[in-house]
Amino acid sequence: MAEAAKSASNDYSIPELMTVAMARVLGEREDGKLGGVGAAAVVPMAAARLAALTTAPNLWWFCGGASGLNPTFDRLPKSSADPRAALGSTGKKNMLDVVDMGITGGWDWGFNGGLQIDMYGNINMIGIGTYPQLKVRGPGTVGTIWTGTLRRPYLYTMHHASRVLVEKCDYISGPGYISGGTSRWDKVQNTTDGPQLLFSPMAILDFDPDSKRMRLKSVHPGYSADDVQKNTGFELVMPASVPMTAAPTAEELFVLRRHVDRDGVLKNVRATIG
Amino acid sequence: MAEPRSKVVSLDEAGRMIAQHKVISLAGSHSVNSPMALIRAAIRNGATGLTIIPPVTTAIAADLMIAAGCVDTFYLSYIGFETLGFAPGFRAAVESGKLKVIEGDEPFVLLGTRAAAGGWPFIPVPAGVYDGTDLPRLNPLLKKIKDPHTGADCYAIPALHADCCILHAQECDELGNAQFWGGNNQEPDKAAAAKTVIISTERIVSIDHTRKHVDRVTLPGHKVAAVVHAPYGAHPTASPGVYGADEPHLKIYFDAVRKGETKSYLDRFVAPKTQAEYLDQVGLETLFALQENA
Repeated sequence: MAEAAKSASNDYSIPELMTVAMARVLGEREDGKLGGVGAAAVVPMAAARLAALTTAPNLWWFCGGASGLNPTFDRLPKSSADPRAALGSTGKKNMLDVVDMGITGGWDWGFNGGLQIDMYGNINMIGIGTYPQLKVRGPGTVGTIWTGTLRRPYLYTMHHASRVLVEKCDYISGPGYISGGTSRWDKVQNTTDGPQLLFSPMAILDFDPDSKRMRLKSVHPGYSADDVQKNTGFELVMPASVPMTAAPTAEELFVLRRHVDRDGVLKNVRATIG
Repeated sequence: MAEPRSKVVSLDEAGRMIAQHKVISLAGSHSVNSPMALIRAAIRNGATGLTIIPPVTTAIAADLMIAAGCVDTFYLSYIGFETLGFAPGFRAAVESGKLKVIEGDEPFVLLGTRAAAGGWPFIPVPAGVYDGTDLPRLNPLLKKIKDPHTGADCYAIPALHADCCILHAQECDELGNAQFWGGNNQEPDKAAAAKTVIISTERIVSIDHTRKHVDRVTLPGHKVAAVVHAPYGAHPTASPGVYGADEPHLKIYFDAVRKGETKSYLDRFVAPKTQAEYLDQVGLETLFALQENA
């Protein structure tokens, strides 16, 4: 690897574009619903904060390690475990609440990433190679297990590459559509919908309604559908025409930079292609 | 009239106490509120063959003990340095076959601790929580059982008991009544699930101070065996409300271990015998600046 992902424009960074794209989706689909972001998740954290200020004023969101609900920070911390990530919260959840709600299906939406993400939206945080002496030891499953109980899991990665987006995960720590079709619901609670979208530095992807295989939904400015396919480790379902992800508007960037990320953290978050 | 006995001991004495145990548990999250001074003291005092039960997310706290060669077995939920990358000591130890990992996750570590805290032999969770994953295949401690009431399949998460729980508090009195600011409250169960508890603290406060702020006392001190006064005792992790995480220092650690230069880090930052000598190594300018990011 790893060429740093570049925006087609000097006007915004790729993590800023991803943040805005996520915030729009939260507005379209999750306003009034309760969800959360994990700890090493600076982009989804910024997106939830931006959505609460713009597209989803009724959003309920839980901010990972610092455990605040609906925090109102304007200086985006790099980690949701940073105590400053709980600034201005309207409530807190302790870790036992988080786990209780994970098991009972209390979370409407959430963002998860992985060391590997496969064509059916399964996530691997365990590792690559033969267990136990893995070739690449991953950081551990942590809360990715909840992709099996979240009503609508959203996936993201900051690295769009064939080694990350693989045909089949070496291990599954967060269930997506397992082996496609209806196989997910043989394993997990049938009250959940499975992964909705994947946000990457190159594109937004969704899943074919029947086969549950990953499908290209829109390509970020500066990249083509072919670029996306070349950097993906399996054949994507390819619609006849693939639209471009709408670039952030001046107003979206204004709110993001003045009220969510005054220190410009999202300008320096690492995003890579290949 | 009689006075209660103070539990305050030196950092070195606490290190000796910790090193006598085998199963050590920790709280804190990621790079926040890890009991780093106690960990360094335990390493100096020859802690070896340890089993670590960490919080659901950890970074340098567990990684330093692993990199220093003190750990045999690690209960995993998540260990990593977030934006810096994978935990280098952990990764090297697993990939070279030196560390046994119990492949857990958030509910495994948290509910296992809850079970031990409450005296429950195990906690069952619906099979659907794990059936879509490889964890039951990789973790033999996740045993499938039948719900005796409904016949439904469940997985039994075993009670995770510790010998000694080590914690860093923002304020603590000499009897061990402790305040943990920030975080997500993993400390009380971690303490209850351990035979003994050792606390380091930014400030040792008077018992009158505890009485005045009793609604902020997270952990009553009855189970606490020792209290250590360790200003900046969470450094290089953050101490909520007191100082932020020292990101450049975390990077120094991360780079040293990744390059196989763990010894140079240990010589410089773990070898100093007192907290004052350690803080000399870090430097006052750095320590003052970290207060701005609390």
